[in-house]
Amino acid sequence: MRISKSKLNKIIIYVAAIAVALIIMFPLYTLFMMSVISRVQLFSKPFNWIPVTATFKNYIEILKPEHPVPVFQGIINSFIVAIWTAMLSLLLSSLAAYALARLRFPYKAHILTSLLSFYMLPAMLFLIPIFIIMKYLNLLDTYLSLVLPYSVWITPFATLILKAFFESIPSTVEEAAWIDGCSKLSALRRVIVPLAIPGLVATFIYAFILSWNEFLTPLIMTNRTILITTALGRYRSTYDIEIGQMAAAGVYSILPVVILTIIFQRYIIKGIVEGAIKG
Amino acid sequence: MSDVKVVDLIKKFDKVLAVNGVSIDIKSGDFVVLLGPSGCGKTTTLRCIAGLESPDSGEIYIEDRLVNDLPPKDRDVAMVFQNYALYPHMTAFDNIAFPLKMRKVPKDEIERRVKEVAKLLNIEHLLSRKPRQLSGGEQQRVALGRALVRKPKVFLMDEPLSNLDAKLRIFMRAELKRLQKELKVTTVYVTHDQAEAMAMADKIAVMNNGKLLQYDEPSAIYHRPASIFVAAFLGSPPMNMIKTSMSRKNGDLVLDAGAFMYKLPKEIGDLVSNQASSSEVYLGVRPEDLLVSVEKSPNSVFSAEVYVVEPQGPNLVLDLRVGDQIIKALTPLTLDVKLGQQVWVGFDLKKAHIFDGRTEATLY
Repeated sequence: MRISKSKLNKIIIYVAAIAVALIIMFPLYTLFMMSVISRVQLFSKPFNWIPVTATFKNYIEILKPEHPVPVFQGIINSFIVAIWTAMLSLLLSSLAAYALARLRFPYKAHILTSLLSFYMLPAMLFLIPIFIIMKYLNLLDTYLSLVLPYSVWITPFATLILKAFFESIPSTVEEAAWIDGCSKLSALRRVIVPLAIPGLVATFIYAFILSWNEFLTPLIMTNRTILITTALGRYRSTYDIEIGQMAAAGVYSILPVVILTIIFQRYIIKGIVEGAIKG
Repeated sequence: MSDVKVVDLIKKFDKVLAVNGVSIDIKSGDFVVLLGPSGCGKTTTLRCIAGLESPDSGEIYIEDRLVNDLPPKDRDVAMVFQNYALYPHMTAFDNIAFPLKMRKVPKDEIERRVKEVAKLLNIEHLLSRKPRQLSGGEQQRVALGRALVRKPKVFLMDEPLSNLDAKLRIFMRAELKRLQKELKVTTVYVTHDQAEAMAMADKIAVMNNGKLLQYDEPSAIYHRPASIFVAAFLGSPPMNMIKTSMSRKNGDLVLDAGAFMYKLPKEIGDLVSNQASSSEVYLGVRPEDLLVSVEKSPNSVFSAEVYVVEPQGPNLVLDLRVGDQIIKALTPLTLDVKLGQQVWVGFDLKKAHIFDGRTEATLY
C-alpha cells in the first residue's frame, strides 16, 4: 500500500502533536491521580499508575474553613489580584500600543527598544527595590503591592502584542471613521476596539495567567494576604506532608486558568498568530 | 462660486516636501482629477482637503469656509479609499448607515436612505453581508454607497478603481461619472492613470514632485501641455520627444535632430528663439499626429527605419528608428510595412510642440 506524501506529512504531524500533548499532560495526570487516590495507594510499591478506586475527599477536606492551609481564600485573593492586574495592564498597554502603532512622535524606536529590553530583565532584579518602595508607601501585604509590580512587568510585552494587533487593522478604516463623523475617541470605541477584541482578550488572559502563576512576588510582598501559589507552599511542613491534599489544591489552582483558556481559546490563538506574524 | 479652494498648500514629511505650494480652485459641481506619478503629492493634497493631514502652511477652503483647523468629521466631506476601508465587523447595511448614525439621523430615515443608495448602486441584495463575503467590485460599491448616502459637500476619491480588474474598472469609470453628473457633487479624484483622468475629469490637475504643473480641461491639457512632463504623461503611447539643437541658417530658425533638419516658419521661429533658454529644444509630436507613408510625399519631413510593428486593434503602433532615437507612430492597420523597411514620416507643425531643453517649459 502506498501512502501519499501529504498524508504521510499529516500522520507525522499528528504523531508529533500527540507526543507533545502526552508529555505536557503527564504531570497534570499525575497531579490529578495523586489527588484522588488513598494514602495507601500513594505509597504502594510498585506504584500503580492507573488507580482502581477514587475518592474526592481531599477536595472537600481542604476547603473546610478550619483547614490550616487557606486554599479557598488563596483562590479568591489570586483571582482578585489577577483580575485587577489584567485590567490595569490591558488599560496601560492598549493605550501605549495604539500610540506606538498609529501616532508619529519623536524617539518612538527608542521607546520600543527600551520596552523590549525591560521585558527581558529578570523580575527578581526589581523585587528588593519594590519591597522597599511598597514599605515606604505602606502597601505591604495589600493587593496593590502585587497588582502594581505585576502590571509593570506585564505591560511591556502586552504592549508589543497589542501593537502588532493594532497595526494589522488598516489605518484607512480608522480614517474612514473620522470622515464619517467620528472624533478620534469615538473612532477608537466604535471601530478600532471592536476589531481589536481578539487581541485585547488574548492580552487580558495572558496577563491574568502570568499574575495567577506568580509565586516569588507574593512570597516577598505579602504575609496575611495569602495567594493560591503561596498557599500551596504552606503544605511544606517538617513533620507531615499531605500529598493528596496538596495535589487537590494544585488541581484547584489550575482550574480557573484552564476554564478561561477553554472559553477564549479562539481569541488566544488569533492573538498569538497575529502577534507572531506581525510582531 | 468655488466649492473647494486650496491656496499655497505646503506639506512636509520629515524632510521630504510632499506638497510644494499647490493652489487649486475647484468649481461647484466639477469633477477634478489630481493626476501624477506615485509620490507626486496628489494623495497628500487630497488628504489635506479631507483633514487627515494638517498642512504645514497654506489654506484650504470648503464653500468659502477656512477648514484648516477643522477635524475631518466637521468638514462635510466623504471619501472613498483605494482599499475601500470598509468596517470589517459591520454588515454592508451598517457600513453605509454609519455616517448617518454618527449624525444622529432618525432610524427610519437611515433605513430609507440606505435602501435608496443601495438601489442606485445595485447592491440591495448584499446589504446583510459582511465585507469579507463581498467581491472586490461589490466592496467598492458599498464604499461608494457609504460616501453617497450622506449627500456631502465634496466627494474625495483616492484611486478608488485601481484595485478592480480592467473590465470592471472601465465599467465603473463610466458609472462613477454618471453618478457624479447626476448628483452634481463636487468631486476631487486622485489617480495615476491618465486614461482614467481623461475619461472622467471636467478638469485635470497634473502634479509632479509636489508641484502643480497644469490645471485645465482634459482637451487643453492634451493639446496644449504646459511642459515636457505634462506632454509625456498624457496619451498612450506618450508624445515623442525628439532632441534637436536650434541654429540660424539664412535668417531662418532650423531645428537639427541629427538625422534631419526642420525649418521653422519665421513667426514661430522668432517666438521660440525669443523664449528659449538654450539652443537645445525638444520637438514633441504625438504618435497619432505622425503621418507615415511608404513613398516620399510633399508632407514628408524625414525618413526612418521600421524597428518594431505592434498591431493594436484598429491601429498599428510602429517603433521607428530616426538616427539614434526611437519614436512611436500610430498608423491605420492598412499600412503595409515590414521590419527594416524605410518609410517617410511627416507631421503638421500646428499639432506639434516645441519645448525648452533646459526648463522643460513649452515654447510653442
